[in-house]
Amino acid sequence: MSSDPFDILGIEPAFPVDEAALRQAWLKATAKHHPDRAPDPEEAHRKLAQVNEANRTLSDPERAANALLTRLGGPTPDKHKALPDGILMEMLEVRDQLEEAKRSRDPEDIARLEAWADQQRGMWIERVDGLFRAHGESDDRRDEIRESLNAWRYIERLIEQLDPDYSPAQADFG
Amino acid sequence: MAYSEKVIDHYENPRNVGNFGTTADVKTRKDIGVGVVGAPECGDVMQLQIKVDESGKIEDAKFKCFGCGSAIASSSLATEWIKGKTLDEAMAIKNTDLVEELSLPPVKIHCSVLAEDSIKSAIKDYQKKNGLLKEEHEHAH
Repeated sequence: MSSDPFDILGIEPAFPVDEAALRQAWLKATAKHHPDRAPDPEEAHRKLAQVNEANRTLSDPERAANALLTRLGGPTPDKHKALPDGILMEMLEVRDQLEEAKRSRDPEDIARLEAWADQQRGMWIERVDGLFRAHGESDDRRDEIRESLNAWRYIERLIEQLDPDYSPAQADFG
Repeated sequence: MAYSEKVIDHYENPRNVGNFGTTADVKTRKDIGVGVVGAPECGDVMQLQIKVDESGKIEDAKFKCFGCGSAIASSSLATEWIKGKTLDEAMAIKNTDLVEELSLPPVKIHCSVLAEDSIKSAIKDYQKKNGLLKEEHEHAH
């Protein structure tokens, strides 16, 4: 069976994912594979886990965009490492600020970084949406989408690290 | 996932953390090379600064890594390894050497790649500042 989350849930592959359609498809799929009603409960458990994982992927905009790019045959980050100019330096600076904010425990500093990361996430959603549209309409934009997703990952990582419960060691167990 | 003892040791007591000045400060210092690299697989960033003495040996190294335990351990170990080495010797360090020493699992190999990239990037920055960059064909990663 395909590991494509759009196929697993049977929803239209698009970005951004239609939240209402996703919820409906997920409810339908969980009912269908309910272990209490299935002839083969073990198989149903496996299917249910797959359905839930697909739902988690598509509920997360960055992971959903990656899934769509994979489906379109686009490159993985190790195949196309490009990043927009200046992003790495900016990310290094922002992480310095994060470290400082965590040390000082100043809630205002953390809040400012959270607001910035949130605004950046919104910007990447918009940009990637535009690129997927352009890709669908005419030429191959897959490398450009990859480049944007590469940059976007650093923002999502920052959001993970802003979580007060985040610890670098736990990042390995996750 | 279980950490190897060596990873835990480097993660809990990372060696050579810090820098010789902010990126802007060291930009004009010819004895210092700076490498800033990132792993798009996970979104972690790492900075390595090397201080090179007059004989061309890496006299000191400092790193900053905002990442997972394996990335911190890889870069910490890398700074230990490159100290006292010539640029060519440091350039020859492979991520697989780090993987072996730290017993990194397959899903954490990209952390060691990040450390290797940071060494190469810092050396290149030093060579560029000093007009030492050899004319060679850049091979694509």
